[in-house]
Amino acid sequence: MLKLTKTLSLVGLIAVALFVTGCLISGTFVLWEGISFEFTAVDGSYHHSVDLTSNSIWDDHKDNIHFIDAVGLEFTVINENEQDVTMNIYAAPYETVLITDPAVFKIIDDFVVPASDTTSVSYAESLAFIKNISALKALVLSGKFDYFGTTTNNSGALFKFDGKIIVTISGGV
Amino acid sequence: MRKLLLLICVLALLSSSAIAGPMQFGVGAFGGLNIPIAQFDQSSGTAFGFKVILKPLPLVEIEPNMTIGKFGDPGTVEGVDMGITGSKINSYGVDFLLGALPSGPLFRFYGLLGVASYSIKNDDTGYDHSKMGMSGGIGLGFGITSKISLDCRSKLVVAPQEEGSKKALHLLCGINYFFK
Repeated sequence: MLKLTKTLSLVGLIAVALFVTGCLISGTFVLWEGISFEFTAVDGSYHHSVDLTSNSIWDDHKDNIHFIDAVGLEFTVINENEQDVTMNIYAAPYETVLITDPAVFKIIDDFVVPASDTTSVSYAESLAFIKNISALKALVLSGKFDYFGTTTNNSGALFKFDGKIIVTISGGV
Repeated sequence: MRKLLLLICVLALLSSSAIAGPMQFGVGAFGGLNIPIAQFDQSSGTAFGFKVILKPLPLVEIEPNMTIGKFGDPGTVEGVDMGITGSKINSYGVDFLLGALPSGPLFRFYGLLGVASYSIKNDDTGYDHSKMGMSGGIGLGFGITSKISLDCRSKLVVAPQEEGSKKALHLLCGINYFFK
């Protein structure tokens, strides 16, 4: 009876192992890419591309990235203007030329940086105010996308945004 | 699938009427570590739960159960202070033990297979998915008296998601009371 018990237990474990190996080859990973821009002109927009596919973690799992669990930002903004400056950040498909393209959508809406001040936002804090998160996740899943940054009420002194986009992916191990 | 799981639980609870011979039944509580596997956005946390124990045969046990688990806060990952809490992983399902828990002063090893509905949620990131999953593992039971036993088990949990799956290792210890 003891031998039967051990055999059954072993068979059960093997069955579980065979089942789960199909599901075991996946995990959840965190990666980030830098996003920076600065303005010295009065109003205007800044445009740049983000290429996650050049990230080593993304590259390790590129053939099996299933899902974007979370997207957030961590950034510091320096405003050397003598008045508050309002910042907006947009995302768009890769190689979008103009901010007026219909595919462009806003992800940070009217973020006000006080005059002559430096403001920092953590990843956790950003999760509470990022807009259009589903659309942003779909864009991030493609691996490459563009972003636009705009400011208003900028009198020409330095306004600098320096941050990271932080992505949590579910992918093959 | 959830209705099927509920049906399995009901059938398990009613199985005593269909099986000849003495059948033991009882309840148990358990708790322990909840260790994420290949989940670099989580750290180790805890899991607690309750179960009903049905023992239709000496070496077979059916345990409808509910587990409430939480991963630990991820802390700093890839140089980024995530600043968020760990995800919650809750489940309700049925475990099937081969080897069963001892009644009376005995040691007994057992294997287990389980099926459950797993809900994984993170209030900070907005992640929220529920799906059926499976688990498997081994355990060791210690009979204290004819009605009370302790058991410790390690259980690999695989909770499929929209794509891929979340996995964890539960290291649990519990106390069980048999009414009959």
